[in-house]
Amino acid sequence: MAELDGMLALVAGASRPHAATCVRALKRAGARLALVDHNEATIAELAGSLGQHDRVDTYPGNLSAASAAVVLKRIEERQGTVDILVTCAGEPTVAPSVELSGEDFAAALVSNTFHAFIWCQAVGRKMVAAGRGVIVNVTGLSGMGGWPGWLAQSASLGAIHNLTHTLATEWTRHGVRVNSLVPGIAERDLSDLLKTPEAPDRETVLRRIPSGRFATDDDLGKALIYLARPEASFISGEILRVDGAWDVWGRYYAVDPHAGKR
Amino acid sequence: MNTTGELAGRVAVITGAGRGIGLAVARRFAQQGAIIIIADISDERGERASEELRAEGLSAHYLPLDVTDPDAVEGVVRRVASEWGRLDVWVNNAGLAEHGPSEALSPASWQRSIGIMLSGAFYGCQSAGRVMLALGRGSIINVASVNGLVAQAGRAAYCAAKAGTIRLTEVLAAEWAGRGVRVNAVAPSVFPTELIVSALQTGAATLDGYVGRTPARRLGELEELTGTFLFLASDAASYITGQTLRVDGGWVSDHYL
Repeated sequence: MAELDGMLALVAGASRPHAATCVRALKRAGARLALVDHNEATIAELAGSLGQHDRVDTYPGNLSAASAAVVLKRIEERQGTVDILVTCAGEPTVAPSVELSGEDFAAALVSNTFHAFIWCQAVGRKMVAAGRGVIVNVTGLSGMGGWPGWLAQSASLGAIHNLTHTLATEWTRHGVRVNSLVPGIAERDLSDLLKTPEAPDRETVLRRIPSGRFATDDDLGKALIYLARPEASFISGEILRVDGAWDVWGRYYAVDPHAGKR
Repeated sequence: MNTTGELAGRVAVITGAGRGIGLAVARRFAQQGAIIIIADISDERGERASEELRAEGLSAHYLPLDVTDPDAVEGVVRRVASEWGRLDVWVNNAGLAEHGPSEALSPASWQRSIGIMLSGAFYGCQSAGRVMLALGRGSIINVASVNGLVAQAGRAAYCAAKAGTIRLTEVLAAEWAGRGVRVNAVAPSVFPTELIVSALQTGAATLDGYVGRTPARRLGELEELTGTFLFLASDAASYITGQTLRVDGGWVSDHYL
């Protein structure tokens, strides 16, 4: 029997960068899926790539609390109670902070922070009433500290981490676990990193990762399932980084972490 | 002697103040009217430093101290309390910077770092804290490091000692805040002390490496660091306790490349 056999996972922001990885991992673990995103074509394509359509449904959604409630109601009618909620952060807007427009900053807060909030609240409300549920907010490394040029993303994802902490303090006693999952730098993320003024090359980015390799889909997927499955029943309020030690490393070194490998 | 400075008439003990950051802090405190006790493991360095300060018209005294010996720490505290009748500020500054691959780190090297920087800081906090608690006031400042906040590869013992010092600071602050004793930490990045200058000269470290890692894109000046110690030691910080104040030009904030 698969680890999440028959459980219903709602993935909000299912067209976003790490969503497909999460969706495939949840599917492999036996979960049924409800994919929500305003980008219907993308999630239809993602659903189509999974096979077994009776276990995957897609729902158009937009960024309002009212919309989340309506979509959630439809999901419950069609697929039943949501056991697992996964919210995914969007693409970063990268610009020097002196040039970042107020609109772009506000847009990041809406598409990341507010998006996580409306889904956590809509689904969390039901989970609290039911006395069980798991929420995983998928964020990004820029939410862990300062990233030059990533102001909007960093601020909006950092806010999700504190949202996670606060919801955990309120809801864990009601059987609802709330955690964040922080994906490491995957090879495909290079294009985002290259948007920054310093435009680091591939080798520079690799040297920045103590593990000496990029994150894989499998790395992220396994961590998601670990947080989602019932065995993690006492883990709540955790910000789990799957980053090959990117964020703990202060980047100044007396001993080169990569020296032993060469 | 400055009788109107921010620390006029206060008695301050600074461990490891024979040179480097400790000596710079001692000078800054003395310039603000404090009576300084330089506690150092090296008689030669300690005597020279206190003579240097006295030659500048400042009030400085030297007492020998090995901070890894709790009885010796207690002895310095008793001697200061009996000789000057007060103890206002205690700075746990003594330290050393060893490095190397952790798989080869010897127990002796580990014990040396933990013994001087973490246990030594605790003994200082405890002995000075007892006197300060009895007096109902006092300020203890622990010298931490950016390496107590983020990992530096090749510095297991140093980073562990500094991180431990930060949590020790927080625990003691929580325990003693209601009794007038403040405990704070300062976390510097890289400052041009003799040790750093010599590391740059021998090529053990590079200026480009330090500067490139620092968002301020320069090293700090010692005056920029000692001002923070002065602030935490003074009454201006009378409601600040349990804080680790970074003086790092943004070093720890930068999590990027």
